[in-house]
Amino acid sequence: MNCETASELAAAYALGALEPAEARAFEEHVAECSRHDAEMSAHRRVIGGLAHSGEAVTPRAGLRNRILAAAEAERPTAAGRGEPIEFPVERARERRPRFSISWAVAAAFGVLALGLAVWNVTLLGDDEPAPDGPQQYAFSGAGGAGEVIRLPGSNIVVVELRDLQNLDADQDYQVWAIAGGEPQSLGLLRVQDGTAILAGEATGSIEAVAVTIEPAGGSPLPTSEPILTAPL
Amino acid sequence: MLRGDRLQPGRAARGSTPLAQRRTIPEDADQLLDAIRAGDSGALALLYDQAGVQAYGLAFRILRDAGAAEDAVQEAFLSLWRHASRLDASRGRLVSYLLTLVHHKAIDLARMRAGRAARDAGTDPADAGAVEEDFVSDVMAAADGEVIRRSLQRLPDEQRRPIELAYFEGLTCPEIAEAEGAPVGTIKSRLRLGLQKLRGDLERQGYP
Ligand SMILES: [Zn+2]
Repeated sequence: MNCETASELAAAYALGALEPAEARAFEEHVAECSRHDAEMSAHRRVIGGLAHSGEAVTPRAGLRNRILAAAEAERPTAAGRGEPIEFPVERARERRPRFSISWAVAAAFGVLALGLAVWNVTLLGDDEPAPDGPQQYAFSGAGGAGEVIRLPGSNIVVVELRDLQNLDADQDYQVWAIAGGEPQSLGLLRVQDGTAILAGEATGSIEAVAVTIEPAGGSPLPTSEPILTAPL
Repeated sequence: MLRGDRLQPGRAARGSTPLAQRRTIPEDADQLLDAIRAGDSGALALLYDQAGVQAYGLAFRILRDAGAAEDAVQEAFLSLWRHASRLDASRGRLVSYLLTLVHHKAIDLARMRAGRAARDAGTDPADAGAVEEDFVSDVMAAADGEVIRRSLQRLPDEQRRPIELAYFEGLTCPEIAEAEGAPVGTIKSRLRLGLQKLRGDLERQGYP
């Protein structure tokens, strides 16, 4: 390819509109010839501007949460979950008796739900879920509605909630996994238009997932009764 | 419009960020990128709050379908999330980079939907190499959308349409030639002339 042809093709190349063979030939030429650098960067600046020429259109409210949940699920060690939260042992021990009943109940519900699920599957053989598919569990409680989805063969759950009330500025929704009868924080909810999604991983087999209202910033252990509980 | 790099702190900064990582809201694009690199999804939320509407506007302009546009925007954010460690904030603005990714994902989807093969520019711009080049395109991003739209409208139709078909429809030169009923060589010239005119028009309005 000569210089004249390369100059003619620079705009089409920058717009990604060249056929593969022609694009390769163009790239080979400009790799050896710096005379097109200025023109290419000028084209790129204008094309960069085109990216801003769309009308601002507001996406549906769920998109933000969907993106954040996917991002958190994708890099669970670096993103959503972060380093494990250190629970001061003394504090945990001192608090546990106050909450042991409700968490024990939540865990017990898990066993009950499993029993019901088996019973359901036996009755409705046609609806038997694929053994490898994600399992879904509904939240019950007065503070909203939603589901927990557990990824098969893992302790990773995605929590999807709706109809959540707005909280005061000094409060946050906190999500807990109960494993071995003990609550583990999965993180705080980011609520938008009453909906929120959160993904997290627990240590040990999850018996239930619960949501509490905590002081802003969350608590190391729950300080209130769950407003929503989903036995797994 | 995203003229400054200042971010609006808001509810977005709160949320499921791990307690141990709670910190103040990033004040500028460099800090925002640092936080995204560190895996702070709260920073990704801030970027969404700053640029989500614009990203979606671009995807919707290309795909004309809410579900598909959402998919393109989500893919772009996740691509940025995955490749954040490779980006260099000093080279340009995060929002422009994000829009480049949105454009790429949306064109891929549009071509797939139309049963066309991926374009030659089908490699993920987040892959090494393309990243640096794409940052060059940031300068013009200072122009706001309305200015660019008006400049586009001032182009002769025969130059504007091929640019729009290439950029918003993802067509290649032979495909544009077919759509326009003109020889491929003519289309290549019109793309070049059109971009040059567009640049001149923007420069006259004070954009670099
Ligand atoms: Zn040359």
